[in-house]
Amino acid sequence: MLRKRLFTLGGLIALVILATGTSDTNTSGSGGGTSQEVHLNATVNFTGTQFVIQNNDSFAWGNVELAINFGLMSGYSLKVGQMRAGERYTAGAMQFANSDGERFNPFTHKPQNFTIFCDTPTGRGVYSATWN
Amino acid sequence: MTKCHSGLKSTFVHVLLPLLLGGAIYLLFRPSSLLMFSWCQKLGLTPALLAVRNLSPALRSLLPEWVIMSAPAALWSYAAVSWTALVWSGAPCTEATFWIVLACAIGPMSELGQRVGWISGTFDPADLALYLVGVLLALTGMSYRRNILC
Repeated sequence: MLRKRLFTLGGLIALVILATGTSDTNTSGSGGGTSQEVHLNATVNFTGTQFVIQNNDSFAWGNVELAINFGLMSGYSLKVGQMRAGERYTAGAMQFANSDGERFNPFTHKPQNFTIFCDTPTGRGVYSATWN
Repeated sequence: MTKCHSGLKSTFVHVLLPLLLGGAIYLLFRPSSLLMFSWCQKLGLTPALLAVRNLSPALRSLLPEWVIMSAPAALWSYAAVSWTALVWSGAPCTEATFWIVLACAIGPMSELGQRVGWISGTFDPADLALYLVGVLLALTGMSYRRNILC
């Protein structure tokens, strides 16, 4: 009987914790509205060995994560931290790594898409571009 | 062995599957400012998540708004009640009823808590209604409901 009680409580607590994941991190006070996904104004150029990313927005991007060739279970990413408004950031292609720790090799791999994911003052910011 | 297999199957169908469906609705269609997106980012799932979310505009047009906004509430309460009912199936009625009533109450009470300002969030009558739908579906759908409601 004790085991049943523990299973029940454990399961319900796990479910409540899961439910907290649906709370908005950008609401102001109780009953605040939900924020929207922000489409970032960015420019990304690839020199052959480096990516040059420019923040063209009038606000800073926080907690910036850059990703190359992302797929369902693949992709190379790089955490950058903050990028101020107007700031240009240069990232070497080999700074990007996949989940196995393998670095992106620009001589053997072609960058096909580039994604920026970050925090903005009004919600989560996303930018996505593709190269032919 | 067969009983154990059957229990795992029931747990998957009545608890995990509804949670996965509800979670998928959030991850595909809801704003990425939700806390669960931060969890995904910490787990390194951002690129995969973005790839999946690229499909969401096409899928979104196929789904009614209430499915995106409120169906996860029904799926969550269905999973919560089903889990409790599964754990207490075949157990003495009095205590089983207590736990199942508790599981039934969590979802609707959280929504009512938002209404009176005890819990952060925005009260939505549709969410409340769908929490109750999930509870009712779980109670009526489980074969051992006669033990629950005795």
